Amino acid sequence: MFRFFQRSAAQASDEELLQRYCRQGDMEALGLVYQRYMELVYGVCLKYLQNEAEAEDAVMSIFEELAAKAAKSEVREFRPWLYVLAKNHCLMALRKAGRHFLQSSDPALMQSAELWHPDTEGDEEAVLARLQKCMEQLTVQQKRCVDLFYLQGKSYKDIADEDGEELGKVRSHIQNGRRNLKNCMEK
Amino acid sequence: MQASNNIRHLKRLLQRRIAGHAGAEDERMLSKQAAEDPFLQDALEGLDAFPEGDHAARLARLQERLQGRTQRRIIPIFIQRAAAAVLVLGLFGLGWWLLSNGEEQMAGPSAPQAVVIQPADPKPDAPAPIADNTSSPIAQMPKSRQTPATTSPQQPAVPPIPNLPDNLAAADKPAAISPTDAPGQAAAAELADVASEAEQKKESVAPKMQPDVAKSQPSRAATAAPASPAAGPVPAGFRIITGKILDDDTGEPLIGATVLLEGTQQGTVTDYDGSYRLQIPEKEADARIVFSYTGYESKIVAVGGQQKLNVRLDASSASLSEVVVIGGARKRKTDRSAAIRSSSEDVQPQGGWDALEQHIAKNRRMPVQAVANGISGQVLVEFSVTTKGKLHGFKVLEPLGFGCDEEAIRLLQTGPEWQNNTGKEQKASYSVRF
Repeated sequence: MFRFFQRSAAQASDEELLQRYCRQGDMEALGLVYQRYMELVYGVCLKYLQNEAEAEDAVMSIFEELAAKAAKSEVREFRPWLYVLAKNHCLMALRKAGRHFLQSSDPALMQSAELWHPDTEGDEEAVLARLQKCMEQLTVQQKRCVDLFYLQGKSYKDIADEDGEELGKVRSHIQNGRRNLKNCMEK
Repeated sequence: MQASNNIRHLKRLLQRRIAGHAGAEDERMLSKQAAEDPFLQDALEGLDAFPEGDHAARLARLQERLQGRTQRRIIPIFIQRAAAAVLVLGLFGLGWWLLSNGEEQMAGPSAPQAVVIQPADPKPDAPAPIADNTSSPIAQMPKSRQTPATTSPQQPAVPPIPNLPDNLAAADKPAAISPTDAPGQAAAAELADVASEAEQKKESVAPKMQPDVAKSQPSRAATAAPASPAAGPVPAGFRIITGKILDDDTGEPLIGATVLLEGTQQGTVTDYDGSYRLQIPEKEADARIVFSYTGYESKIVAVGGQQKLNVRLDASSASLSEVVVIGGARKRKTDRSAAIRSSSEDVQPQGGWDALEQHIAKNRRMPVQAVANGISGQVLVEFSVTTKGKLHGFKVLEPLGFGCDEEAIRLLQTGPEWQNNTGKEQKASYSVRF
C-alpha cells in the first residue's frame, strides 16, 4: 500500500487508481485510468453508434457516467466493468434516438485468429497455390497493398507514403483485400 | 502491475495502428488478442468500420478534452476572477453611465437599473466552485469543466461566466458541448490558420459555440497540419517553434501533452505523433517553454534562437502523490467547515458544531505516515451518544488509512462533550478532514 504512492502513477493498477478516485475524489486518477482505455472505448462507440463525431462525444459522456457510477458501485475488475458500461451507454444512446444496432455479420470485420492459422497446414503447397490464384482476383490496388503489408512487412503509413495515397484509402484497400481473399479461400 | 503493463502495451499497439505505423506483425498480434477479448474485438470492429476516418485527430482531441476535464489548473481560476472583476467594473461603469445619462434626460432610472442588476447575477457563481466541497464528483463538475476553458488568453472575459449554467445543463448531452459538426470544425481550422484574424472571425461564430471553439483552438491548430508543422502563415512579430515530446524511457510520443509559453497562457498540445507547433512573440528573446503531461515531470526549456525543440519527459519522478498534495492544500484552505455531520438537532456537541470544529482545528496532528505520503481527504466516523453525552462505539465508515482513522477517533474522543436531549442513546456521524 505504501509503495503505491511512491510508485509512479503511470505504473499503478487500474483498481488502485480507481480506489484513489473513490476515496478522495481525485479526478486526475480517474482520468489516468480512463485514458488507458480511450482507444478501446472509442472503437466500441464507433462500432455501435456508426458515426465518428457521435463516438467522440460518447467517449466523453462515458467518462462522466464513469465518474458518477464508479464511486457508487464496487468495482472489482475495472476492465470488464468499463466494457459493459461503454457498451450499455451506446445501446442506451441508440435506443433514445430510436435507432437500433444491427449486428454486422461481415466476416472480414470480425477479427479472428483463424485467418492466421489455417487448419489446412498439411498441404501448404495447395494452399499457397490457391492463395496465389485468389490474389490475382483482387483489384490492382488491393493486391498491391496486401502484398506490401502482409508479404513485405510494410506499415500502413509506409505504403501510403510510397504510393502517395491517403492513409485511410490504404487501410480500406487492405481491409477489403483481406475480406476478398478470405472469401475466395473459403470457397 | 502486470495488468497495467498489458493495457499500456495494448494501448501503444492501438495507437500505432491508428496512426498507421502498425505492420502485419502488429495486426497479427491484435487479431490474436481480439479472439479472446470481446472489448478489443468490438473496438477493432468499430475502427475497421471507418477505415478512412481520421481517428488519430479525434483521439488526440479526446485526450485533450479528458485532460481539461480532470486536471486541476490553478492559474485559470485567477484569470476567471480577474475576468469577473473586469465584468463587474464594466457593468458598474455602464450602469453609472446609463444612470447619469438618464438623469440628464429626465428619464425614469428604473430601466437602466434593471440592466445593471440582471447580468451581474452570475458573478457570485464564478468563485463559488472554489469554495465547493470537492469530495463528491458531482460537486466537482462545475469547477473542472470551467477551468480548462482558458487556454487562450485573448478573450478570457467571455467564456467562463456565461458558460457555467450551460455546462451544467449540458453535462449529459455531449453533442452540445463540442462542435464536432462540420461548421464548427471549419471555423476552428480557419481560426488556427489565420491567427491574426481570429478575433474578428470568432465574433461571427454562433455565440453558443464560442467558448468551445476557443478551447479547442490550440489542439486543432496542432492536428490540422501535423505532417507539415511549418506550414501556415505566421503573423508579423511571431515565430514558430516546432518539435516532438517523447517518453524518456520508451521513446514513445506523448499525445496531448501541454506546451506553454512560460508566464502566459499561450500554448498548444501535442498531436498523435507527439508533435507540436507553438507560436511565440519574436521580441521575447529569453522566452522559455513549459512542457507538461499528466504523470510526468514537467520540463522548462529556454528557447534561445532555436526553431525546433524536441523534449523527453521522465515518467518515474512525478508520482501521483505530489499531485494530490497540491489539491489537498487548496481544499483545506477553502472548505474547512464543509464536514459531513449527521444527527438530529437534539444531538450535538456542547457549544455547538463550531466548538467541535475549533477543537479539531487546534488539536489535529497530521499522522507522520499521512504527511509522508501526501494524504488528504476525510474520515467519516460513526458513533453513539449516550443520554449523558458520552461518545462510544466508534466505527470508521469511510477510512483514509495512514493513521488518519485513529487520529479522527482521538479527536472526537478528546473533543467537547455532547448534548443529547432525546432521552435515549443516539447514533451520530462526523467526518474529519485531513
